[in-house]
Amino acid sequence: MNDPRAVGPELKRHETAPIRWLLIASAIAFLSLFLFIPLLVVFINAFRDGLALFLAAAADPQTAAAIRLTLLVVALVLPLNVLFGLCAAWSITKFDFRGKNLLTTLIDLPLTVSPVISGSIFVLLFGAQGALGPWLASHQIRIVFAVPGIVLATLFVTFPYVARELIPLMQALGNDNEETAISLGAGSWQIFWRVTLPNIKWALLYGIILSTARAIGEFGAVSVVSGHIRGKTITVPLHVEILYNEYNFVAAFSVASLLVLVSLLTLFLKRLAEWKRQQVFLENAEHGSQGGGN
Amino acid sequence: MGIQIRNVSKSFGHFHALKDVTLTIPYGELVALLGPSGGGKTTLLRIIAGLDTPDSGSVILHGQDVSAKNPKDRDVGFVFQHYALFQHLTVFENIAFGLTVRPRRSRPSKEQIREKVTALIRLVQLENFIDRYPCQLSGGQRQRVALARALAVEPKILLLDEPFGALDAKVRKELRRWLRRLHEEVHVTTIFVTHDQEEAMEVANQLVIINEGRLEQAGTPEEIYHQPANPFVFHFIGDVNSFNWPGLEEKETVKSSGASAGPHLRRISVRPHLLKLSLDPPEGNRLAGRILHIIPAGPYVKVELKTEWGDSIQASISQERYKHLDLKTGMEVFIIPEELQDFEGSDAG
Repeated sequence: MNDPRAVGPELKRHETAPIRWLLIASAIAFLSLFLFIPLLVVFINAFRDGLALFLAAAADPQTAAAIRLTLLVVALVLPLNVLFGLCAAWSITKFDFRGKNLLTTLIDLPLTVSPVISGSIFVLLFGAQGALGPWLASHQIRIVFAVPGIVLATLFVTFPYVARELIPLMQALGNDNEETAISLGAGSWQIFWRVTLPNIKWALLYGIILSTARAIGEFGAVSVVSGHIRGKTITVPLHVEILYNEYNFVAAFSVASLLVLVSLLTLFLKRLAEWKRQQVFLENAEHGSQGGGN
Repeated sequence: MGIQIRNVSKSFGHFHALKDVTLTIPYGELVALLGPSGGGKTTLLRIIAGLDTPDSGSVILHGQDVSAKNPKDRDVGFVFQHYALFQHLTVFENIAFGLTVRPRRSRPSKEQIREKVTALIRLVQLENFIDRYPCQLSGGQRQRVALARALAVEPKILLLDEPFGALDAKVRKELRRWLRRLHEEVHVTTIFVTHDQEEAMEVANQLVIINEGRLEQAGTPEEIYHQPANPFVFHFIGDVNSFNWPGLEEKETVKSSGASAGPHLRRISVRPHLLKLSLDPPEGNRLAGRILHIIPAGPYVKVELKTEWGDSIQASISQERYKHLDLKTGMEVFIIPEELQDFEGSDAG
């Protein structure tokens, strides 16, 4: 539980000034090339033909439909992610059971698998030629190339984020607080709301922000299951691609700039949550270190 | 009867934390569970609280078998080594927690809770810290909040896991005395875990010595110090020197075996304050040693010696004797044990 702030002065003593400046300069050059310039390009292109065209592109019914669908997907995926993340983190950190390590590893799977494959899984499962395809078709249920498919694919890609943020924190916190609450007579529900949740809320928020950002921006997996039906199964990132392919650059960049704004907002919120989380973590670390060895 | 533990065993995988422990603790006592780290003390405490379940055996609290009961139905207060205070709650809210989570029917009114918590805060002397958060308190203050929080639900038994383990030496001493006084005031059966024998002796009326999952001895501090039941207890309680001693029956041994090359040695154990140092050779058996180091600060003078048979030992002598003998590092002295412990011939080394 090192204080990350302690690293700075430590390194300063070891590196000579020219090397330090070289490292900082190359980091800034890299960020400019891959972050600032592309961001600038997006905004310049979006506003190239004036604010009026930008607003027109943003208000286009197709764009509006894409935004609505993306918001719907986020609204459906987010509660499930929180629920799953809490359950997974709780069971992994509070109980001992067979296959615990396997579960911990599997949670990371969606992050390591290419999004194309994540999407294909659902096509192979629920598509017309898929394992469950005929049964679904005979019951008039559409999953692939429809909203349920998009929701499933997004869910698959985003579910690890909450659990991944919670597990290390909950492991570090241990069970002492919960066991104290039990011995004081609290029930499970009271323990969760009044003890566990306050302890993990900033990490939970951090996970929610990350998974929301990914859910809004997911392209690959959604592209595979979407079927690209205009006004029906087009999310915002897919909409940007379509506009771009149609040489409608101003509109493409206008919508893209909306996504960029969401990212910037996410980044800001993430930083805030991270800062709060670290505060709490340091406080706990300080308490822990009071005890010395254990 | 306060607490009865009958034939309790517990293992974690291949590790046997407790082996067939049977123990009775009378009502209202202040008891220390004492033993080396990893000996099973905390496991026993957690089993009494119901936070762990024994593999076999039963726990009877105040005449009632609670083995199958939830921790919340056992009327037991548990204080963790690192206090486990709720970081997001103030001192007041922490102490009130156990009262506010009660089902609505048995929950005291806001006024009653306020009254009760205020009384407890006065008891643990934290009147000026009522609205502070745990991170704004010192270690000793946190410990007292944790105690008050456990007492708020009026437990019949109070269990403390290494209550002073995380505190510095001075605060520790203060809190020990304070815990004794507190126990005299509230008189709830209290068990605390410690690996510090001085702490156990100072605070508790009853000691329970646990080592490698087994109960070694239970009794008053006096009994345990003066009548240790076995070599482990003797060595664990108080300082002990173990060294080779030219046997008491040396003369006979030499006589019976004819011309022996050296004296018949046997291993003996003596507490440092029961070793006398002398410049003149004593009657009978003799053991000489060289002084390696002298620590004159403190009520006693500690003298570290190496015996002629190569054992390192420590003697505690009075300041007067030290001045009288005018001891210096490097001097040769005779070592005379005044009393030695013998466990029916068993080798206590």
